[in-house]
Amino acid sequence: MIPAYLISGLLFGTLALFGAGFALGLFAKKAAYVLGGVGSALGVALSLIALTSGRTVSIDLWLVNSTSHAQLQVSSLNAYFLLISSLVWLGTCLYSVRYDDDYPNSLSSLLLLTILSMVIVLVSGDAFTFLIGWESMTIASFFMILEGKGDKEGVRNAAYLFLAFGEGSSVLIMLSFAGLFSAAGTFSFMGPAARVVTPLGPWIFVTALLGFGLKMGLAPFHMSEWLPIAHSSAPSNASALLSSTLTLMGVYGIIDVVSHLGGYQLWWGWLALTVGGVSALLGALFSSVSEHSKGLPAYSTIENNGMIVVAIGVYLIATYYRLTFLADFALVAALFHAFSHSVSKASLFLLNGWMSKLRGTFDLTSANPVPAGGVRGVGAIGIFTALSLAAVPPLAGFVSEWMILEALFQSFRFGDLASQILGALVGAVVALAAGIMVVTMTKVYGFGILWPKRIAAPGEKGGGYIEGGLAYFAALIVAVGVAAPGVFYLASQAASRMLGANPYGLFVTGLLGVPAPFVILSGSPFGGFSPTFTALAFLSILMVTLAVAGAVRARPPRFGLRVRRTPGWFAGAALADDSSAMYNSFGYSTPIRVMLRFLFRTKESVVQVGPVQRTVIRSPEEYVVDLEVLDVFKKFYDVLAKWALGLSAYTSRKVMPGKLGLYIVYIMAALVFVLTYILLTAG
Amino acid sequence: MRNLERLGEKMQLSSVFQAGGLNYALISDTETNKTIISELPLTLSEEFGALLRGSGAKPGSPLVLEASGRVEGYGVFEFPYGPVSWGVPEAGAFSLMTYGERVLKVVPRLNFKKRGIERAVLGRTPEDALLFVERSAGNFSAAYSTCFAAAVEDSLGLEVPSEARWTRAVALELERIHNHLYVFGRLAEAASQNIAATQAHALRERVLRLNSRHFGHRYLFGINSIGGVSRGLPKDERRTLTTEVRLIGREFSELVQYFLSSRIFLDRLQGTAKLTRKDALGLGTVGPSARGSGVQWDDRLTFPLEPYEDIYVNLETEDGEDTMARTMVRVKEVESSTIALRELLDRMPSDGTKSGPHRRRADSLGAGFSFCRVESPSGDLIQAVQLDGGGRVGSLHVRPPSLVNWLPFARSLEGTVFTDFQFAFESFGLSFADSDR
Repeated sequence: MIPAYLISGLLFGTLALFGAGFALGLFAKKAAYVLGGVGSALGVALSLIALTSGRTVSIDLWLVNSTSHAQLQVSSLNAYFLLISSLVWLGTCLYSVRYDDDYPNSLSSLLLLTILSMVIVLVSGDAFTFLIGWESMTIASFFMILEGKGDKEGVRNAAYLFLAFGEGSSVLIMLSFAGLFSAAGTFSFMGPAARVVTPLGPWIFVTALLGFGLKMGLAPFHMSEWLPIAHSSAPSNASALLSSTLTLMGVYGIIDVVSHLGGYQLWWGWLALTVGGVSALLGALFSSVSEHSKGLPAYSTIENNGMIVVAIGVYLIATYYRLTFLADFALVAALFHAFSHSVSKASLFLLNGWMSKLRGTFDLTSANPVPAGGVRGVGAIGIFTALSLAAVPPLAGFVSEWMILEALFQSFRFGDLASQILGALVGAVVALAAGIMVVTMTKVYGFGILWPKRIAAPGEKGGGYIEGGLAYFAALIVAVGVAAPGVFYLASQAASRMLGANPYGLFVTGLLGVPAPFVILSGSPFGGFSPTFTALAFLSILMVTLAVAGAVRARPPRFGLRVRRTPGWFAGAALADDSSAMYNSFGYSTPIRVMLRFLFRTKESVVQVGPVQRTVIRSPEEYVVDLEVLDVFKKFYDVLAKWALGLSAYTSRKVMPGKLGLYIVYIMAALVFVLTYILLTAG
Repeated sequence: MRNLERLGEKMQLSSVFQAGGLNYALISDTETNKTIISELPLTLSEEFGALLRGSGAKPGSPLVLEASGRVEGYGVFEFPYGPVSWGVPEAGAFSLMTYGERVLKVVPRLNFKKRGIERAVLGRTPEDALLFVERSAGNFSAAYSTCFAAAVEDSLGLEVPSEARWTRAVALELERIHNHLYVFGRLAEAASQNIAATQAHALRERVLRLNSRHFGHRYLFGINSIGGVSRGLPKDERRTLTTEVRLIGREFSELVQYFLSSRIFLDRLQGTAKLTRKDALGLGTVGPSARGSGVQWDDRLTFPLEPYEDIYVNLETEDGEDTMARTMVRVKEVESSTIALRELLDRMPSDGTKSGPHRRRADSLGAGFSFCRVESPSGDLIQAVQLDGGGRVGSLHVRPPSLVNWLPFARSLEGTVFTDFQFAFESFGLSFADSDR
């Protein structure tokens, strides 16, 4: 039995280390990152202990009202999310020690403040602590985005857009919590509390989906995810944090709110499936045509979060129809995908950040060369990240995408035709999105890492921290894939609070000579897969190939088996010295821009200037040529912003025209309205 | 010069050659259907001059045709296509300027197949030279040999009997039919219409076998000699040839009916690679490619050699300006050629296949100089021959039809997508061997 004081001690230790890092960051950033790394390691230890022991520990801080405490709480669900986040933070802090060289001290401080706020969000046991963490997380991130290296105007706009979406999200979450409070009668519902069945259920669910969806960048709010990161060209360690763990808070929020609700209705599942499916497809498509080394992974986050919401949708419908097996599997799939996406995506941001720094541009199409010294080893490490996000077995991304697709393929088990059809449709859409991601990851790895010309010139070096951070993530990605049954156990443990029992034993078994617990089942009977043994098979094929190659090389040349080298050629002509001038990332994805011009609002124009013919192609994220022509959703928000500005101008002119009396009347009226409302509803 | 000012509207500068130390321009007036020869005082732009003179280039020296100005913009790069790439049927190459998918500019790179025919024939007897000339481009060999023979005969003042001239016309029309069938088959291949492609190629094969049976060579090599043809067509052969050709024509029109009802096929051709009439005139386009853009020029009618004044040939034009229009011109020309062939074979005079004693004739362009234009399957072929005092070839200037069609082809592709390339290429009936010679 793990004593409670160990858990609470570790928790306070983690919080204290991050807090100390935040304060220290202003003076010594490298030391701050070291503190952050140690804090993350403590966080990993804490969450692993809490997860495996299954203990729930609550620490009451003070009384809020007669029924609610402000409290900190560690349970299996939030410990799981803390585990993912801490693992990501650990690698990010390691990487930041070197990466941060040309940013001010305040960045390290803000980074650790964001991390600290996220820990508070995760371990909060009541709505108030949660919202305090949530708000400080948003504000710290806002200042982090302001550190971006883009043009001043762009950075400012991006940061304020982030803030606007963040506050919108807060308002919706408050509305959701208000619903939960009125049903449960307490604000301390963040920890393991009983499920409430209430007529306010739809209200709570929809506001939570919208509020947390805003943070996750779900369609049609996907602007909130890619724009701040891409347009501000935010620091890479900040981007990794924003896109990987900040959106993870949204995932945690939705799952947590859903875990407190009972009496699911069928249409909640439909809503989640639709929103998730649309987000996945849009995210994948926009990701594939992005030329910004930050924008591309940010769009990919939208796709992955869409998939997670799809899995939650399957869980809701399956629970509605009492398909326990499918519901359990879908929920574990959502949790598993959150894990594999977070580590892979943080890794991709750090990878791209380093390459962008070496190339001196965020533009994938740019022909800028890189100093060979800076990229040594990075390509070999980075391939795991790209392959994981492209869902190649047996890496992390594949296991969880396989699980989500298997869950969707079982939509024939749903009790009504509409759900079955929707499930099949969304399954097709998710599969399509996954396919597009293969193209996208080929692009980002091929053009981002392999393609830039390497020059011998002395340049920046990773100094071990960059390579170390990336290698750490690569190891994590391989481990999550190869040791999938272990992660599956942790995810099941996290889900056990919602499912009533740990479903691990139902899904993990041995089959066809593969010993237990190395086969993951997706249903009974349905599919099965063993990531571990797939990895072993791959490894043995690789070993045999290498052995044969080694044997051939070792043979004396009289057998005629020699390696011959010839100069490279292309289409019958000698290869150009600089192959990067021949084909580029933009050309790679222009076919998609041209074919789907109705979606991307692609505008092509040829401008004849004297004898020189200039061409311009514009597509949504065409940040180089034009920032304004974006997708239809951006247009919508532009109009919204215009109205809001107009309205506030109108109010400031008409309602608050400087007449003090009128203004006081307005405030009094508002107060009276709120008080009356409270009096009427309190009974 | 009054005429040159109007170039590009109603007139085309078709060729430039030297005779007696002077530069001459050969101009086609599409309004009056006249060929105008005028002295050329002005110097042409380097590239255009090289393009029209052509003969100067040595084997192995590349000829790069820039159709328009520099293209720049975000993501624009140069994509090399050929000489060893799928889809380029011969040794030739292109530089495509693109930002992916969209073709912004095409730059043909020629002379991979340069053999230097014009240099090789210098100092040879016209009979020997004919063997070289007709091997310039196998697909157009009847046009090449007829054009050369007619020019030489003209400069020697030979009286060629009508039967020989009519026999040459039969060969020219057979060559036209087999080339048009080939182009149609290649277009069908490009659209993955495999049955149509195979049938078109099968029909072409039948024409080639007719060539072989009646003229002794599938590609009509060796049929012409200076002053006549090496073999005439006996009466019974004329009859069987008429029947065969009529049969092939009928089968082809059936095939075309299927083609016209295949939405998939038509979609690939309609609106693809447009060449406006203005560009067609301005860039000197010739043959079915020009007639597909509404240019009314056909050497059979505008520069008629002997039997073409006597027989009926319809001038087939289309206004579509696209690949479909160019294809339809060729389709209709197969039909009009079969009709012309019937008339040629029906009314062929029988006055022998070799010329009689010859007489000298004074020429304003200088002694021993003559030129000729023949409508090859891909358009206007121009040859200018200068015989020296000993009756040997002193200079030869060839202006192949493919050469002048590269720039219109490149222009028509601007703004299209990669997959349109094949259709444009085939519909222009371009041949690297022809333009490189």
